[in-house]
Amino acid sequence: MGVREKNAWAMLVIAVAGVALYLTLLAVNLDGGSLTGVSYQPLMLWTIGLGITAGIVVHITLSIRLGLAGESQEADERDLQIERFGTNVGQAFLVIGGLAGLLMAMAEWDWFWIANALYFGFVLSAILEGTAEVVAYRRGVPW
Amino acid sequence: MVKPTTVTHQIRALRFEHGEMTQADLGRQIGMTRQTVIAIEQGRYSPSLETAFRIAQVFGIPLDRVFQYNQGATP
Repeated sequence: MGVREKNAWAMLVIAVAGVALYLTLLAVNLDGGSLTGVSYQPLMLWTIGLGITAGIVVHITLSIRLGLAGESQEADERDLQIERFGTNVGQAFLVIGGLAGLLMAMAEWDWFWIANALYFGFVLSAILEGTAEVVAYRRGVPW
Repeated sequence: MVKPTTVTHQIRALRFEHGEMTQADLGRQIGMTRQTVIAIEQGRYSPSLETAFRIAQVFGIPLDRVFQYNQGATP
């Protein structure tokens, strides 16, 4: 498995773990009340911060390990093609999340729903992008 | 669904004819990773035209002796 494929796997695992952690924290803080009553801001910000930090740590660790093993870390044309494919697949959820947030804001929904629509747009985009990349590395790009 | 390629090649045989060249060696000479050479050999990736020419150049033979297009096959 090449460095780019390992990175795609790591990003996918981090994205799934991040959203699982956020939903767990939301459920713990729900305490029988309504979702909009939960102080979601620190939970969301901490989850996003942890995800970004984990991504950086994994990337640095992989780079050091492969550097020590003398393996190339440069992307070749296949890596770039798979990356483009992943971005195209993930992009759809970014648009859906943004559009959902926009419509909710226009309809004056609670800020909780607007923030979460945007958050899930980002997260689902990352999960879909990671999944598409991992599948493309395993089975090839579908064109 | 991944589209099956109708392009066949002789890369594996050519590697062995050229002093049992490893996939990593071929990858280094064409500027690709070993994983990409494996993907090309297994038919999971069709290289660009430029890479195909580079592969032929490594083996010192024309492109059509490395890659063949199977016209009769369904794409």
